[in-house]
This record gives sequence, C-alpha cells and structure tokens, in this order.
Amino acid sequence: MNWNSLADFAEMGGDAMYVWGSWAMAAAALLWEAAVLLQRRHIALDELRQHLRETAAWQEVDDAR
Amino acid sequence: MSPAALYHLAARWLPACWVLAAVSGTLGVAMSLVFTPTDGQQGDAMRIAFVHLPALWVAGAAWGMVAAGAVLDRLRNERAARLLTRAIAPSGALYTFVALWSGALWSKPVHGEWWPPPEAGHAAATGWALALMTLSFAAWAAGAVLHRVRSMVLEDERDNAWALQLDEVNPR
Repeated sequence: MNWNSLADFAEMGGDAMYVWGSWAMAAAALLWEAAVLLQRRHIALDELRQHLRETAAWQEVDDAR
Repeated sequence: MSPAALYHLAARWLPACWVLAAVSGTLGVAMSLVFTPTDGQQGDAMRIAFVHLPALWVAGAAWGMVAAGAVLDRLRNERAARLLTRAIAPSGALYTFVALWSGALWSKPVHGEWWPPPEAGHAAATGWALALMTLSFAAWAAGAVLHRVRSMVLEDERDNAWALQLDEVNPR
C-alpha cells in the first residue's frame, strides 16, 4: 500500500490537479461515449418501430381498398 | 458479410466486451492508483501514464483499423467493412482527445511545458497497471464500436425485411 491517508491519496504528491484532471477526463470521455451510444440505439429502434407502425397502417389502408 | 449478420455477430460479442472492460478496469484502476509505488523521478504525476498510454494505443489501433477498413471497402466494396470503419472512427477521435489531454497534463508537472521538450525522452515505467488499463480501454472501445455498428445497421436497414424479424423492433 502506497498511501498513509485518504488526504495523502487525494493530494497525489502535489500533482493532484494534473493526475485527477487526466483521470477525470478519461472517465468522463468513456461515460459520455456510453451515454451517446445508448441514446443512439434508443433513437434508431424508436424510428424503426415508428416506420414499421406507419407501413403497417398503410398496409391496412391498402388491404381495405 | 451482410449488415444483418454483422448486427447479430456484434450482439454476441458485446457482453464479453463489457465484462472484460469492467473486470480489467477495476483491477487496472486499483493497480494504477493504489498499489503501484510513487515513481522515483516523476512522483505521482507518473500515474497519468496509466490513462495516457492506453488511450494513445487504443487511438492508434482505431486509426489503423479505419485505414484497413477503408482499403477493404475500396477493394471489395464490402458493406459490413464500411459500416465497421464508420463505427470505429468516433472512438478513434475520442481516445485521441483523451491521449492529448492527459499528455499535456502529464508533461506540465514533469517538464514544465504542456508538450514535452524533445530532449525529455520518455521514461517508460510499464507493468500490470498499464497492461490492464490498456486492455480495459480496448475492451470498452470494442464494446462501443460493436454497439455503435448495431445502431448503424438499424438506421441503414430501416426498409429491409430482415429487420422485421428482430424481437427488439416488432411493433407493440
């Protein structure tokens, strides 16, 4: 174990701003990517469902004719 | 390979990617921040290497795959290759950004400049932490690519009949 206390760990030997700035940006980038991916799939599925519903509706109109 | 086959192949590999990313990420973070001793020359600023280098390598690999995919697309006119290439590119850009950002934050405390001077060289202190973080980033990126490519197939194939056979898109 490398650290004597939590404060010691947070301080990172005086380079806290640089170490945590790097790690936080990396974490933010990965999580942001995940959020965007989930949102994109959600939208794609929604649009596809909508499209299928509309085509099904038109099919019924066609059948009724 | 047809986009539909790619869609199902991606679904099969996705869980393994997320599990690998989570397990190696947890171990890697613990190794990087807790168990790896403070560097004798660079102090704790060296811990930036554990995100900088993995991000750099994954970005490099992503751009390599984009280049290879573009060649494949040109030579074979393969639709799946084109989709996969387009899906990889955003990850390449994202990890390039993380590598540049963390590189600047690493250089400043060590060399006094936001970009390392040419004479500085690169003291490499690699180990399990670095390997695990790279594996974690790579698995996460692979998962992201597979997830993205599935959305792309859905977007592209909206009018094709095979989409009707997916459980996820059957109208309620």
